[in-house]
Amino acid sequence: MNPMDIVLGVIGIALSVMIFSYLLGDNFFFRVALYILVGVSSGYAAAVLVLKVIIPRLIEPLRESGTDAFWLGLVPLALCLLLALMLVPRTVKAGTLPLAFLAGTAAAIGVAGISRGTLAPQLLAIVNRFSPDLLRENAVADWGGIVEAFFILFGVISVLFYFHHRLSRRSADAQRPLLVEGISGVGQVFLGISFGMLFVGFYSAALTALIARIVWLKEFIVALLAG
Amino acid sequence: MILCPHCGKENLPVATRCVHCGEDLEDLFRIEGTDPDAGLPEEQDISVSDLLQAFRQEDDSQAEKPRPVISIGKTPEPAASEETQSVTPEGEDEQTPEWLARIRKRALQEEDAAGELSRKINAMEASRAEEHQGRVDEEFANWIARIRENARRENLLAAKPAEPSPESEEGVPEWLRKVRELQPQDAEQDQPSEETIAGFSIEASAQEAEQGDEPALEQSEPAEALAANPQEESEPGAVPELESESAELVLHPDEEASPDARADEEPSEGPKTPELEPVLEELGLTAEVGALDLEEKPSSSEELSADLLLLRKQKENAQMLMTLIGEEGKGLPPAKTAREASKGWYRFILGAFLLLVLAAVIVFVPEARPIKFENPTPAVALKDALNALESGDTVLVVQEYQAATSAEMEQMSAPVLRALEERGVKLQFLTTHPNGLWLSANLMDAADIPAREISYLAGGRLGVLAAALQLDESSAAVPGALENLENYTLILLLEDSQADIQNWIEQAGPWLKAGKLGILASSQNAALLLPYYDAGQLAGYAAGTMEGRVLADALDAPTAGAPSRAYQAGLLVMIAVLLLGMIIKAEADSNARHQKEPEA
Repeated sequence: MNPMDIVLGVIGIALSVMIFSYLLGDNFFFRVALYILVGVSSGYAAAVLVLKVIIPRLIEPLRESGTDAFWLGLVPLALCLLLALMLVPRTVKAGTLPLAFLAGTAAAIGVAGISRGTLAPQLLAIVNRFSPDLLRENAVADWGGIVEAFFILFGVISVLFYFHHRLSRRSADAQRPLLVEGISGVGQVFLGISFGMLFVGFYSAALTALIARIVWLKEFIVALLAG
Repeated sequence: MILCPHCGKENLPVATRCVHCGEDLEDLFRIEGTDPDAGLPEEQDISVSDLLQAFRQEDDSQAEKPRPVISIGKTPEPAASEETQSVTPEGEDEQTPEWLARIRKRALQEEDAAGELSRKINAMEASRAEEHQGRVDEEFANWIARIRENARRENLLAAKPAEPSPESEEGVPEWLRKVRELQPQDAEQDQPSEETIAGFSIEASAQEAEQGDEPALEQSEPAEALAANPQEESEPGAVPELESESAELVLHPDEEASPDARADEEPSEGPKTPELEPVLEELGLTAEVGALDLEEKPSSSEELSADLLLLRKQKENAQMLMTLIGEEGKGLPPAKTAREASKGWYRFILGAFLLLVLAAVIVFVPEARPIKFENPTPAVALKDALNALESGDTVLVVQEYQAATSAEMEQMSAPVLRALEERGVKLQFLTTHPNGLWLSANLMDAADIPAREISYLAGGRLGVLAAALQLDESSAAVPGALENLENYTLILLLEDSQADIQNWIEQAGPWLKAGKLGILASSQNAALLLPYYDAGQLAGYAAGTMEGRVLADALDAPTAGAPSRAYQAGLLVMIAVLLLGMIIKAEADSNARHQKEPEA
């Protein structure tokens, strides 16, 4: 193990212990480690953006005067200048133009993407569950598939009932019918199962990362002792 | 002054009879504790008058006789004291009693000290022996209490001197004018209140002087005392003087409000006033009490309090508004939340326990292959898609995970990449995160494949859409090395973020043929991926190290030594913590219900 690896390993151990100190609450060492992480990540991201985005896509086209890339490059340059005017209090409003452009474009793309990529395919998948071709297997009813299809449909409806019931309960204190209350309760069960699965997933990911860090510490100490 | 043992009135020290009731005061001229019949061995009896006379003679002849000793014989009558008194020789000093020496010593310092003392003591003893002893004591106690009360009120008056308020041209006080400006509808009601303030207690004192005081005086004074003191009744004493003072103070007689207000505000003063009136008359305190009431207890106190509260509220609102204006534009201060120390200790204990368990398992427990379980359908589908790849096919590997999950993602993706590399599949790397640029090197090292350049796709969701819509390869929005996405046989996403997965599925998925997207994700995204797989939008996926291990086994790619034992131990610890938390919560809820039931 060369000296540089030892130094980097010791720094890594120190930072790991500083992060682990959060078990004692929010303290100075944890904040220092967090600031180092944020600072290094921001600096690295800024360097990558300058080298991979600004220079090749903004500066380089402007060096080719008279070309299409040059004229197209003026548009992002103007937007960048307007955005930079937000640093001056008197010209803050000038920066709203590129921000409005970005927000509007992102919202439009997001809505279109959700509609085409999530809502429509998911709804079609639920409807296709009741396709006669899928519910029949060798000219015999596939009862398992039928039950599964109805179960999925009931889950979707109950979850929608739950959200609708919660919103309506906020607006008025009117007592809901018993059927609606029951379906909403079933929807709540479905949501609970989903959140539980999400929690397990998050915990598993965190546990895997923690185990990897402990294994790294163990290997580093063993290598350090072995020389 | 000496007190008469019969009527309790004061008389001159030289008086032999009470000037009020005619009682003989000769008994007062005796020394307390001495029995005139017993006497001393040499001097059988001691007369106070003889003693005083001897003291006076001693003062006169002190120069000639340094320490004269008075020999007092038995004197049944005060008039015969001169016959029995004689000056003792110097040899009799040794026979002088101690009490007599003290009297002599005090007599040298005070004029008529022994006589004053004996008179007071004898008067008290005699008075207590009389039939009206209880009445005298009660009257004396009331007199003392009244003196103390008077002193207290004088202190209050001295502590709160009346400050003259500024007045306008009409003579209206400044505070009343402000109140009228704030509430003009109550202005008419304030005017009589002002009069009431000025006149209520004076009226009360006048009524007491005219109606209540004298009858009360007649009731309190015993009939025989009044009969025995004709001079006091006929003299222009305290009562006429009080009437004159009260007449001067009656400026605004208000017959309705003042007596009621006084009766409401001083319920305890009423019964005592008739009894204490003679004492007050003697002390001359009646007028002062009336003046004190005038300042301390205005009749319109309720209206004034309401107005003052309104003013205070307005002032507070104005202060709040000024504070808000001053804070305009400033950042919000950081919220300071009170943190309980016990929760921090619980968190530390649980975290330390988890760390210790994991470290112990990793260090001491040997690693073993996990039990094979049935391959999950999405992983099998992904395995089939990967096995369908042939040599020369191009796979776009999109690396979109952070450093925190790099260990998990490298465990999953390294065997797959190694298998594809061995099969002759061309791998092209792309990332949308700046961190992916340096994490790719670690991934290639872990997969043991040759290092190659990784492209950076900027813009996030917009960049993904631009890459999906890239009809030609001349677009400046995407990296030059990136081809049209349809040209790739498979797009393998290495993801740890739900948002990044949705970006690719929602923005690029609709523009791609079915079965183009395969995903290797961290375990936290397993719940999200299943609906997309069921909808046919994914060729397959594997989430978490367990499914990654299954996929690697299916591809006949050896996996790195994953600490599955530690993973299992961590899951067991979390299950135990969750069960413990549920039990504690249920216990707490049960206790809360039991506490509420008795209250209900």
